[in-house]
Amino acid sequence: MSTNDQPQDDKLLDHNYDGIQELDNPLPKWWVNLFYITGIFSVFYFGYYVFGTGPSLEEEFQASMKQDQETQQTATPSAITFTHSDDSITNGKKLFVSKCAACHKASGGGLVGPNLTDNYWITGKGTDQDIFNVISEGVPAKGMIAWKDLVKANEIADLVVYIQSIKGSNPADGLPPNGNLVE
Amino acid sequence: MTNDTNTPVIDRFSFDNGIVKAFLLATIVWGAVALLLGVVIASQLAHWKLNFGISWLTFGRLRPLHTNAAIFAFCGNAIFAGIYHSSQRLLKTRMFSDTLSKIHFWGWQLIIVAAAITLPLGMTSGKEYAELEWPIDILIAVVWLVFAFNYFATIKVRRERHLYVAIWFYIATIVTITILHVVNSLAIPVSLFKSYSLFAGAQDALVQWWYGHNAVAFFLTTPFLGLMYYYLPKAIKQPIYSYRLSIIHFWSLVFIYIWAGPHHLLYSVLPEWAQTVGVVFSITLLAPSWGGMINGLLTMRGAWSRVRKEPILKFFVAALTLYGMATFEGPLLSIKSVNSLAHFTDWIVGHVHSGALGWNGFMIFALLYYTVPKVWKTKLYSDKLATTHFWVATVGIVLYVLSMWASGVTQGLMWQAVEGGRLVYPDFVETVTKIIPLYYVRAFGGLLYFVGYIVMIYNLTKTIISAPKNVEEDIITAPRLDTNTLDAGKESGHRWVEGVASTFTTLVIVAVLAGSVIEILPAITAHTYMKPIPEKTPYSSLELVGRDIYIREGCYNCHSQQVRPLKNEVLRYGTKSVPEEYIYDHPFQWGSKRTGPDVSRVGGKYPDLWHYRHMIDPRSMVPQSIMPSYPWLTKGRVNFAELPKKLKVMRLMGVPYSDDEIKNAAQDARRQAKSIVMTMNLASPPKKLEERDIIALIAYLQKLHLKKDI
Ligand code: HEC
Ligand code: HEC
Repeated sequence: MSTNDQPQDDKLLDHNYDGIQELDNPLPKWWVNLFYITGIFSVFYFGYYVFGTGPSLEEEFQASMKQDQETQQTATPSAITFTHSDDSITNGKKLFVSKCAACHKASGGGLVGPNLTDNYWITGKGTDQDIFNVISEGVPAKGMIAWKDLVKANEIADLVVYIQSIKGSNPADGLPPNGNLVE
Repeated sequence: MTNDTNTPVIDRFSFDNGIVKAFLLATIVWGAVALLLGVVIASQLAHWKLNFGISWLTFGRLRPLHTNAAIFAFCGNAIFAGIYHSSQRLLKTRMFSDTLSKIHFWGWQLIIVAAAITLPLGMTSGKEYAELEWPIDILIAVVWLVFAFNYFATIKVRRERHLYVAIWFYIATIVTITILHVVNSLAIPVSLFKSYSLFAGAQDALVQWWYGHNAVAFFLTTPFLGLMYYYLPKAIKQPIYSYRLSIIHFWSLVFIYIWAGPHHLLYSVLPEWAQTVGVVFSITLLAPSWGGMINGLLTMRGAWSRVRKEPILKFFVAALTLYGMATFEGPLLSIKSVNSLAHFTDWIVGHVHSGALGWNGFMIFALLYYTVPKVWKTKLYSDKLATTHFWVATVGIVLYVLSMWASGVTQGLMWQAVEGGRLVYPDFVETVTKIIPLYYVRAFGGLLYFVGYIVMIYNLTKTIISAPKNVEEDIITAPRLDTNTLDAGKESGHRWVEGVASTFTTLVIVAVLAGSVIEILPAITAHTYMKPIPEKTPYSSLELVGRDIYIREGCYNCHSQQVRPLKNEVLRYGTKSVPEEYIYDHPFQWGSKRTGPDVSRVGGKYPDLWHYRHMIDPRSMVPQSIMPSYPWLTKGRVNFAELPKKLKVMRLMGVPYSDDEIKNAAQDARRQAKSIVMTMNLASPPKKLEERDIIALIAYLQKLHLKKDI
């Protein structure tokens, strides 16, 4: 506590409310300074953003998006390769269970989304690239999400590999075929 | 002071302690309810099964009950107990009318009971901390005015010429709450328990947070500062540190607080100048808030050794310290960059509770431990138990606040994490799973606080039971106030104003209206916000019912409906919000907490069937989900007959429905419901599915997006 807290400096006022008295101590200096500093800061802050050159929310937003486009451009996407390895299948399965099972069931037998274990395809002909495309771009109108911004390209490739690996597994409660038969 | 020639008349009277006892008992009872509800909903977030699949027990309906019970029942009754107790003594008079005091008491309890019944039943206006429906709102206004009248009449018949600082704070509370409540509750009824807010979208949001923020200011701050100014010097038996500080911090607090509401709406579509006003006034508010804290703490100078021994003083010190912390954190959270991280997270919940549990709760405990023995004319049963209460509750608060802070920062950072133009945690639920352990810690902290409370109830019950029966009320003698001396001209400045209650009250009204009018009026009257955009058409009649169900189930307690102009939000949710998309939203549903993801762009993201399964059992679609299941939505039936009336009320407020749309509201809704049921193509649908609540809710959820094909 600072020096002006010494009780002997206090001047008792002649106020008495139900026995409560009041001292006539001055405002603590640091408190007054705090008030001034926040007040002055506020005036400048307000002036900067409302009348001055302070960026608007829209400008800040555009700047952050632009910065992002630049980083995206520098990172040129490498060509997609589908390696049908056990590692890819394990990884693909993990992703499938966590992200796709809600709609396609963990077995791939289909629920809200179609059965992925049969030879029938609504979009494309079931080639690696076709499946990759439908996962990436989705079918938003029909409720299949475009995953390209949510899952990395190499992970989508693993998903493709996994889906190919369960083809013909014919799970017990799979949905009936949907789409065109691809021999 | 009095004229030498006049010998003052000496009055003999007694205080009305009965009304104080009544409010004290009500405080104790409702406090237990509010805290228990808090523990329940905290546990529901940790463990979703505790929603029990029963509509009136789910989080979305109990959370408003918890907040209303804590603010209006627990804090409310405590404030009234303290005001009736201290004011009679500070003004040296009995309350003006015992009958009006009783009407106030029973009216207030009736309001609380009505809230406890209607909120779990889903009758809500959908505006946070103002959820009660219009008949109850009117009752609140009437009861509050009875209280106000009684209070000002008591001031008029006072025998103490000057109003003490505690009374200033009480006056500010009474007048400002009247204004806030009336304006924010403006609504047009559809039926006895359903109304639509008069304001829409951004305007509704501005009014709501002007109200919400100032409910914190004038229900949870000013009356408690008033209580502090009476009970602290009484308990410590030392004079108030600085009369000058009282004056400066009172007026600056009252004037500045009212402007800061928009800090709840940073990065929203509210006009930016209004947001900036909210920021700067929040920062300037630091010193006025701390003024109260330091005046309290410095009043305790030289008595610190007694704090170790006396539990009441412990509660005062902790309350003031936590008040200081919360009012430092507030301005910090108003800084834009901090806000963009913390808003919608548990950090805010922690912030609120350091104020609610620490400042309000501990002040109330100090008040109870002091006043109960006083008015029952006995001694506290056990100081030791009160000390136990203090330590248990303190540990509870520490666990609560730290866990929420950690949870908020963790989740906020996960949401924000973007790498190479891509979200690092695109799965929302991943960011939820991460913080579940902290939800357990929080629930445990809340439980400790509750346990401490039970110890207090035991202690106070013992105290009251052992009190002497049938003691006579003390007879007080005081010289009657000679009204002729009121404007004696011997005083000037503030001391003079303290002697003239009407002038004082007028100045308070001017101080709070200044900010309100300058900030709110331009936004309310600006028609530029009202331009419709082709991307958002009015809700169809079925979607409107769906929206009512969304409000009824309290989905807004977990879901926001606004995409802030931040990179990570646009990546996660989609196009950022524009003010025009909300112009048909009576009330607005922007939300303040994202326990679940934002839903303003969820329309079209999933097929109807996904929502159907997800609403019945969220875990069937998202295994780690903590969202409650809503199985009863497949049973509840839409009231189609009421639809034309709902549309009519909406049209009254400017939503452009045609005569035909109103006339055919029921058929249109049935047609849309049927087509949803058809597309879902369920193998064995429940009977009459097309009439069920769930279909209307799905229709509403699918409407939540900006049409792109324009
Ligand atoms: C919200 C539900 C949902 C989720 C989650 C979902 N899908 Fe789909 N998916 C669908 C629907 C619905 C279709 C059918 C679209 C159509 O009718 O064209 C579909 C179609 C597909 C198809 C094409 C099937 C065909 O016959 O053309 C593939 C492949 C696919 N999804 C893979 C995935 C993968 C991999 C994931 C996880 C990353 C996933 N889906 C997650 C709903 C979903
Ligand atoms: C206790 C908080 C809570 C309540 C109350 C709640 N939700 Fe949720 N909601 C969540 C969480 C957490 C998620 C994310 C996990 C999931 O998808 O289930 C979620 C997800 C959702 C989603 C999916 C959003 C998306 O983009 O994936 C929708 C739609 C939804 N909720 C609708 C509702 C509706 C409608 C209500 C009211 C009837 C409601 N919620 C009530 C917590 C809640």
